[in-house]
Amino acid sequence: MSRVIVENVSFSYDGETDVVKNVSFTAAAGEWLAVTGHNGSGKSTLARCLNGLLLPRNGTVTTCGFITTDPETIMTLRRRAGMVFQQPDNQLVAPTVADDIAFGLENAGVPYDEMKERVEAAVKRLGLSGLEDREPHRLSGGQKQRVALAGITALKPDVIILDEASSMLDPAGRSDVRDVVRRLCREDGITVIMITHDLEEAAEADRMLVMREGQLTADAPPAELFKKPDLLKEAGLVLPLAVLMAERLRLEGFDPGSPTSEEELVRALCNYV
Amino acid sequence: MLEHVIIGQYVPGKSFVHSLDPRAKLIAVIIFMIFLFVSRDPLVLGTAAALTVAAFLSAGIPFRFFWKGIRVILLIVVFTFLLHLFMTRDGTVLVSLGWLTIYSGGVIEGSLIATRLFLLIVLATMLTLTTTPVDLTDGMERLMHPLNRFRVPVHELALTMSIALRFIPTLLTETEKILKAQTARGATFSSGSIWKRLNAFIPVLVPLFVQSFQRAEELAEAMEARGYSGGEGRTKFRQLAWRNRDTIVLFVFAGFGVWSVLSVV
Ligand SMILES: Nc1ncnc2c1ncn2[C@@H]1O[C@H](COP(=O)(O)OP(=O)(O)O)[C@@H](O)[C@H]1O
Ligand SMILES: [Mg+2]
Repeated sequence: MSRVIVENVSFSYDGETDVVKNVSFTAAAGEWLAVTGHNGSGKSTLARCLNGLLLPRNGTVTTCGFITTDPETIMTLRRRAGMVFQQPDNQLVAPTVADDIAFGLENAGVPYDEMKERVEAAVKRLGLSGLEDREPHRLSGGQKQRVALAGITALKPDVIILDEASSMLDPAGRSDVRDVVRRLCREDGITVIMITHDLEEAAEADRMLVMREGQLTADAPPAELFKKPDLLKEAGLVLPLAVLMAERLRLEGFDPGSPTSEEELVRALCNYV
Repeated sequence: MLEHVIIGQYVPGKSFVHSLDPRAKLIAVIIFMIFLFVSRDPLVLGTAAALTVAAFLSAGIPFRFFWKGIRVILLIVVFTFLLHLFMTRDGTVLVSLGWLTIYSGGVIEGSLIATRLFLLIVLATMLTLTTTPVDLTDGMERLMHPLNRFRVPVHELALTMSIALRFIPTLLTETEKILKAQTARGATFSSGSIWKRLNAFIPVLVPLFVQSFQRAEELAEAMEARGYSGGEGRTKFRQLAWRNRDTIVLFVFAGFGVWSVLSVV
């Protein structure tokens, strides 16, 4: 069964204009979805509908088997579907890393001994060993996002939603976060819904959704969508440099394959030579 | 100047006082505070001084650091002493210089109050120097837990406090950034009349406020997303361990309290 089912969802902040318009899609267990789109296209709004922070005006969202409009199950739902936000600073609540990772577990009423084990496991899994007692303000952006992810993993979630979680980070922080997300998805079978306007980041997903002015205009594997530059351009998205470059090379009669990142492009070119 | 005020600053360490349960330390300071002001017996006061010295010595705080921090606060003690010295009209006249008359009662009263205040400040400082703000908040939350029954939002207050502690450094960094940004735009904060200088801070405070509200909103959303729904049914990750040494310390301070009362009766 699908872990996330979005059916004909519309949402409006002011009750007049819809910023999410009749969106439908599903995400299976262990699947990695990238949601892309221009600033203001409604990505964050859609993301907040997935864990019931916002309730749709029309349509339904069912996450981990729970409908978001049921107040009885909303807390269970949020424990099973964690969310990482854009601003690393404004989502860490507690005075130390370990305390922060434990925050969700405390909310869930997990007994102390189990909580301790789970925090330790999450620290290890996210490569935060040695930072347990560090205060949040003395962490790098990438570390902060990994702490946020650790807090979610400790709850053993089925779904992780990342709302432009690496857009504020430096390249090293970005690749850190992406490595962690890859492991959580590919090894632990967690469904990942990654919101981003960086198509290079989206390239790794199983499916890529494109939002434009609140509407879902595409839902297909990234490689397929990279072949439709017009659609992406209309949505205000910029193809990764490697994809553009490969296209030009093809026009010149070379075959570099289909690289999506600069690294892959370089490798393809090296092979060619 | 602010960096010299050490009340509320934590000095990491592994001393006996550091190792005590924050609840024990809090109760001890409260007992001390109450019963120090009950008795005028010099022997009781001497015991209080001995307790304070013992606390100081076993806390292993470097004396220079401590002295530097407490100097500013000593002004308050001196001021209190002088106030009592000049205002008390009891006992025999010791000095009489024109409008200024000092009575023996003033000397006694002034010394008494000043000594009490000084001892209390030193002991309270020992508490904050050897306990992290987080442990302190935690200790307070647990001690105040029974007040829940009277609808005091203990958990919420403690959480607010701990979030405030978490964000103080963040806000300081932010203030610094804004200061620099405004300086780059030509603002000056270190010249001109006091009025001008104060005025210069308005363009710093406004963005700081706006950003803080934004932060608060995002933080609230993040907490909601992480399944926070109030204190009910919550468990605690931070555990406090009450040990024998805590009980002993409490007995010592309770003993002091009892003696202080007995010396009056
Ligand atoms: N809290 C809010 N109140 C009112 N309007 C909002 C709010 N948040 C976003 N919007 C509006 O909704 C639209 C979609 O925003 P958002 O979902 O944040 O887009 P994205 O995340 O794709 O940049 C924008 O036009 C934005 O101005
Ligand atoms: Mg957004």
